[in-house]
Amino acid sequence: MVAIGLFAVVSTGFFSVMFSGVRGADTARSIVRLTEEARLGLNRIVRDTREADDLLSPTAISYEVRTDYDASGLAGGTVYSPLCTANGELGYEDVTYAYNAVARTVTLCGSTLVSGAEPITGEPVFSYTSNYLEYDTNPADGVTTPEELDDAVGVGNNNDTLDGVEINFISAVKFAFQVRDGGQVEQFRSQAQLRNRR
Amino acid sequence: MTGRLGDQRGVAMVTVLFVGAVLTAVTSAAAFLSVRELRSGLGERRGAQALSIAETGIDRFLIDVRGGSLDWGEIKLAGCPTPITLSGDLGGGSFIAKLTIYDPTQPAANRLGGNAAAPPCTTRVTARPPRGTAQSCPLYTSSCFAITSTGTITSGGVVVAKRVVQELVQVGASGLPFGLSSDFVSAGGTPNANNISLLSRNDVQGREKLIFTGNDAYYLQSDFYAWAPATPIPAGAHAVGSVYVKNASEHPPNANCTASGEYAWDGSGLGDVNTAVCAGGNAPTSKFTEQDFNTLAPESAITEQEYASVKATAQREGLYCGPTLSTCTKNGVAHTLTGNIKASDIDGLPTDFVAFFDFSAPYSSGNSVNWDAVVNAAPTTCSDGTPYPQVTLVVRNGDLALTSGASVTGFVLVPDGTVKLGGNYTVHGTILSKETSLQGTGTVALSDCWVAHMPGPTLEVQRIRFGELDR
Repeated sequence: MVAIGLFAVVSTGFFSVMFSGVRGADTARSIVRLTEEARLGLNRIVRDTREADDLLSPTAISYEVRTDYDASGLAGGTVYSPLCTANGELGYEDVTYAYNAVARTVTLCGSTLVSGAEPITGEPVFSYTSNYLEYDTNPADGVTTPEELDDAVGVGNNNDTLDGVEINFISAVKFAFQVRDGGQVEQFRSQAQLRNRR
Repeated sequence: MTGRLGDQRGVAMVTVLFVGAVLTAVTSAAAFLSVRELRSGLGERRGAQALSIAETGIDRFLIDVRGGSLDWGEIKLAGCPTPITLSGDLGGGSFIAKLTIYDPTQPAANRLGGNAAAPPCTTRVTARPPRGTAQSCPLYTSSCFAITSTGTITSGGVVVAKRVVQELVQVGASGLPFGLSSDFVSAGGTPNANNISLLSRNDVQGREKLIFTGNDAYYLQSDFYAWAPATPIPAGAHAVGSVYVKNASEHPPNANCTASGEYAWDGSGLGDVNTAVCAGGNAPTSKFTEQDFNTLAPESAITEQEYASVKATAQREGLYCGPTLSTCTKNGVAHTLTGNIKASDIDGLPTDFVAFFDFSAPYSSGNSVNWDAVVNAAPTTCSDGTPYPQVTLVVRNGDLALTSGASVTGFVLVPDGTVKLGGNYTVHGTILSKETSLQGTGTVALSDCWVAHMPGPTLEVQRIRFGELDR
């Protein structure tokens, strides 16, 4: 009986450690998958944004870019993002990126691009800056923010929202989110210049 | 038997083995995670590196176009059938960039040049670079080009990252004045000005010595007078100050219909709306103002950045001297000048080359380059696809003198000093200087051939659209 008891204790301990190890391995695989997915998703967002001809409806949780992927400036051509809206007249595609707080996803035209995502505390998922340093006034720190554009005479409408012609002065989009899987958190940050907004 | 069952020494070993196995599994999982993360991070870093290198290829190409190693004659046929290629190594990677014409109105497969007998090669307007680059490529395809650059990172001889980017650019004539352009021009002897306009920001002295013939090969009447037809303007003298004929101002009368009529298209700050119509026609006004000059030529000089590009080309594959004529390089190798610049100083240089004389500031009349060499003895003979020899000749903080037998085809840039032309010289191309003195019996000229092969520093390259092709 003593031997059986000892065997049971030892076995329980052994299997508990073993299952814990397996769980750890699964978690590791899951984290790798999530972070790789997040990396790929972020790359896609950065590349699309970099190539965008125009920026539309920018907010802290979503924005839209208008891109002529086949660089024709003409109707037709390659449709690169079939989920998104194609502007047949000019050959543009309107691509929307958004953060869904309930589903904890970053989406591309409604389709999940990154899962397990959540904002980094104190930072918006999407934020915007401008190269127009003549409006970098408060403070003059080398970065023109939407707030400074909003306050700029002749540009902003002073309504504390990035809207109207202020959007035309935006030249870069910043991204910040983290991916959580259980207790593991990986943070992702990047920035894309709107290269074709000249 | 009881003794063997009671012996528990093996249990410890088995337990250690089991625990060891579990720890190995846990450690392997951690290692797997770390390796995948590292690999993923490394791949990302290499990708970003390849992208940067690919973009460098585009930047280098833009610099090369303005640097003087290419001319419009080559650029306008890029990709018909052979692209102009530039390659280089950079930071553990390499790029290869290709310039081709680009016509967005063609089907996607035919937009880039590649077949000389098919569009867009056969549908392009290729005679001369368009003036100004205000139009965007999709609407104005005759000057639209693509630079496609591939950046690669290799490790152990294997490509581990590759990115392909494309920049659509528009190439056209820059806003510099083209012709004989100086702040001040004086003439003596009987110099000829064939198919070229004289443009002065101040006065022209000795107009009666100059013999203008033909129509300007570059400018149209509509370039000078917005309401005039887009036909070539007869060669003439245009000065923001005065044009002096035998020490007296040419204007009035407006227009000046004297002599052979070559004065009829002259303009000056003292001119006015023409009250007469000369036999053979004349300009609607003899007035030529600073504003007119700036409309005609919005850029008065090339920028320091552009000087740096031209200088780099001279140092790499041209003739470069500075800060004195005793320290020169030719094709990047030390070279000793003996007296005037002559044939032996420029032989072995590329077809389109740069000669850059970089005297230290400030300007001194003692800094003088005497040019005796011949660059392209037949500048009015050319054909598409055939190299057109020419030089971008720059003298900073000094003067340039051409004497009998000297012949230059290309772009003469003497921003701080005087271009002194004497004897039986030939300058075929554009001159941009602080002062110009035309003496002797030589010739300054433009031609359709020159316009069809305008050198890189006279061109303007504007980025139109950036794209990543490796999706």
